[in-house]
Amino acid sequence: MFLSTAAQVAGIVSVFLVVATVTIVGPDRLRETRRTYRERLAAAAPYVGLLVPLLVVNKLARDIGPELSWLVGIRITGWLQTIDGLLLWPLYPEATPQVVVWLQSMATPAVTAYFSSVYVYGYVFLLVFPIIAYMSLSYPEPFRRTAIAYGANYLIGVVCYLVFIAYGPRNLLVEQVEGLLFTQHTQYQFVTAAVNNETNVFPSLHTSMAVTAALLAWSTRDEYPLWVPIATLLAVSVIVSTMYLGIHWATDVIFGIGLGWLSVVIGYRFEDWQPTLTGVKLRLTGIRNAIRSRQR
Amino acid sequence: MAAESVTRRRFLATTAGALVTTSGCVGGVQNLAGRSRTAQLSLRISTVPASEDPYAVWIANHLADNLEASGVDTIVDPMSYDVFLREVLINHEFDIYIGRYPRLRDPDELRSMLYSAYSEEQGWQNPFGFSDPGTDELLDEQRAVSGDDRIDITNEIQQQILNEQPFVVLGVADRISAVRTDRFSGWPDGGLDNPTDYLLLDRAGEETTLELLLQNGRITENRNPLAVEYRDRGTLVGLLYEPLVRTPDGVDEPLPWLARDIAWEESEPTAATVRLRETPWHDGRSVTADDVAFTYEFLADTSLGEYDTAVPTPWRRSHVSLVESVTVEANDRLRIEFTTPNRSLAYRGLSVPILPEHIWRERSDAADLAGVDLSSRTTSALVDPNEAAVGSGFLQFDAAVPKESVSLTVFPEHFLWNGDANGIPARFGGTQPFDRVEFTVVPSQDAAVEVLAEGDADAPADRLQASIVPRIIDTEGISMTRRVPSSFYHVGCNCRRAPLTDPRFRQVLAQHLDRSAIVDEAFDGHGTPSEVPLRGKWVPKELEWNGTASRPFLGSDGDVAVERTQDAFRSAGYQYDGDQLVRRSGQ
Repeated sequence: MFLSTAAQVAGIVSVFLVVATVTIVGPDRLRETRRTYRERLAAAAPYVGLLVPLLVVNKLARDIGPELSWLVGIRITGWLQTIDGLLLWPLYPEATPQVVVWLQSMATPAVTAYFSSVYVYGYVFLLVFPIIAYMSLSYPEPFRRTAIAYGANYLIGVVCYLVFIAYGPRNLLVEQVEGLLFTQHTQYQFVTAAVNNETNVFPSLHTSMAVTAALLAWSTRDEYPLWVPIATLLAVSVIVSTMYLGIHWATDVIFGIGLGWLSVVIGYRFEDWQPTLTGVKLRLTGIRNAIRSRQR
Repeated sequence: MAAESVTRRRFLATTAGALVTTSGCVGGVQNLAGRSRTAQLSLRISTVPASEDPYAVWIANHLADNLEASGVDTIVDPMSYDVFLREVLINHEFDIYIGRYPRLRDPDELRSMLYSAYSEEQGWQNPFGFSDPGTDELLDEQRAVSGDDRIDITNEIQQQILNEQPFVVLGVADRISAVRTDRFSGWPDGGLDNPTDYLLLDRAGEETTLELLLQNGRITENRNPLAVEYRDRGTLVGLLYEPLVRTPDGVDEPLPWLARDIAWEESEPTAATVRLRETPWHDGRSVTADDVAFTYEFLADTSLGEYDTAVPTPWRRSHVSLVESVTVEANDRLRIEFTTPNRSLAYRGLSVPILPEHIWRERSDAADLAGVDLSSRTTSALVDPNEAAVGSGFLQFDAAVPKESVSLTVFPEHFLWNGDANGIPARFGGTQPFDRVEFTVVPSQDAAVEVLAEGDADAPADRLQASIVPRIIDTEGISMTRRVPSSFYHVGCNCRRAPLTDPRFRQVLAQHLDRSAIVDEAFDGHGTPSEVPLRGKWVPKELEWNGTASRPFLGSDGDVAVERTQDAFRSAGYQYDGDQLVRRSGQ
């Protein structure tokens, strides 16, 4: 079940990627990329190298993260529920509903199907397409920015998951919230359960990654004007879907938006930085010297 | 919606309260400042997330909403099942919890739940910290008598529970399951709930591997029969470890299991000579009388005398306390003295899993594992994951992938398959119904039904929730089955913490729970409300469920009537500031 669904996701996203690459990136840029792909890969390699420590962190987070988290983390589910119950107060001062309950009150099968596919396919597409698109540019900054911003999202997210233990609305508001993705589109669970832990709720990494992708789309609006509205629509849909499907609290989403923005800032800050071994050594020497001079 | 509006009201009330406080007259400041201030009472309800038990979460929300309405600041705190059990049963870190008692068929189980002397121990023995000399006397007395006298005393005990409410019984949820019958038949009602249920299956085709689905991965990582925080009802470890006797559902007399026969003595309290069957451990060594004697010594004190205070088993405490002494008379024979004259009760003492001495003896040393308060006395036996799980059960451990799957194979040298099954009805023995059992973890119950529908599994190993029933009924090829189990839902109070120390507070708390609404809405009607933990002949006439509890719900249709609950709290001696229940310490 896991493999067939994963293959299905990969297949469908690939189709989207091909279509988007042809229409948004365009044949001219693709031809250019094909001619200079060696240099471009060489320029990107150090950033792809950044993936290695990330994968190690991911492995650790998956294997011991949940257990470690229950030992050192703080349980905040109750607080998230309380805050979420106050957010719509300006709209409904009399009887304020939970944000997720309010969103689900508008549910229809078609809307559920839309948000379920956006949550799975749309999200993957939204994150993968920029990598292709920015590799096809003649200058490396957008690609570097993206790689660093994605990495920052993930690292900060993992630390938060360690520190904050929370369950999503579908695990607490049983009588009101339906875990729509889980009851109606069962097949996706085999993929989501394999890549995520159910206490990894605060903040919403789906939201932060989507916000990052959309903000980066704006930063390359001159090159890819068509990508801006598409990325924005997808990002907003992904954000709404996390709440609509009962997976995240609105509070997770608010902090997710903040994290997505912060990650882009970090991406800009370090886009000129080359992650080479010598660079790391230099930096370490710099720190050591700084400490020494302070000790004196 | 009630909870949300109350929360906001509380916020506004707090703000208003702060303004009033600052406008106090200066002359009185000294008098006032010397007194401790009052603050709203806040309580935390510990429970598990809906993915593990939607019923418990529903009940937690129901109680939280109603307590909020009565002016108590209440927060629902979900945590994963093992963390929940560790906090409640081992660390006693809770105010109120919502849970399910594993199995309760005999009144003697109430003794381990409530006996004062057990309140400092870890496990299912008195997690409430309840202490009442009168109840203790009754709990001891029910062991000394039999027949109608025992029923009378049990009635008194249950009446006492209702008066004191250390825990509030809510009712029983049916055990629901879904099974495929094309590969295996003979499924008992409600699916595979007890180890012996597995023996009732028959092959319907050529398939020799039974495929079952798990809701969580606990058994894939921990197979220790004493690790209370990893066991729900102990069914799966029960497949790996055999007791001296077993009492399957629908059997009157306990069946001699590891015991070949039991010769009772006409003494008071009673004693018996037990002869063992010839059967090996999964590693090939023989099961001996020494192993049995060791098991009883070990379960009574897993430190084997190392610590000043004994560290008893966190589970089946009452069973072990029924055994006074064990004397080994021969390699396959031992004499057991009991603490009770009641033979049917003595049988309970014989139903604990027997452990191999050559593996468990060295687990009596002090454990140094994180996650449990290290200052408390914990032995390796209680925290060892016991991955290899060498037992003498009819299934043996084969392989496991943590969080994903575990496979067990039939143990061919087991006495059931070797003609040494005297005293065991034929339906449990004879031919092996399968060669292997594969357990696979699935992400949810909906996913479980989907896997069943595709024919990739035969049944779930765990119970299913009521909300999945329509989906089962709509699915071709699988059928729904259910039974009434011996486990009941209850609200546990930590009687060590004020104001839960006060029985009057607990009584009013109990009146915030609408049992009819819980069964109708949380269990979707698949259950029975009850205010007493026992069933059948043990339920006194006046406590049989008739739609209203003897301490009735103070409201209707699941929602409390605020003026009634506030009156009840007030007449129990509690005070209100506006619509908040306040206490000096805020605790």
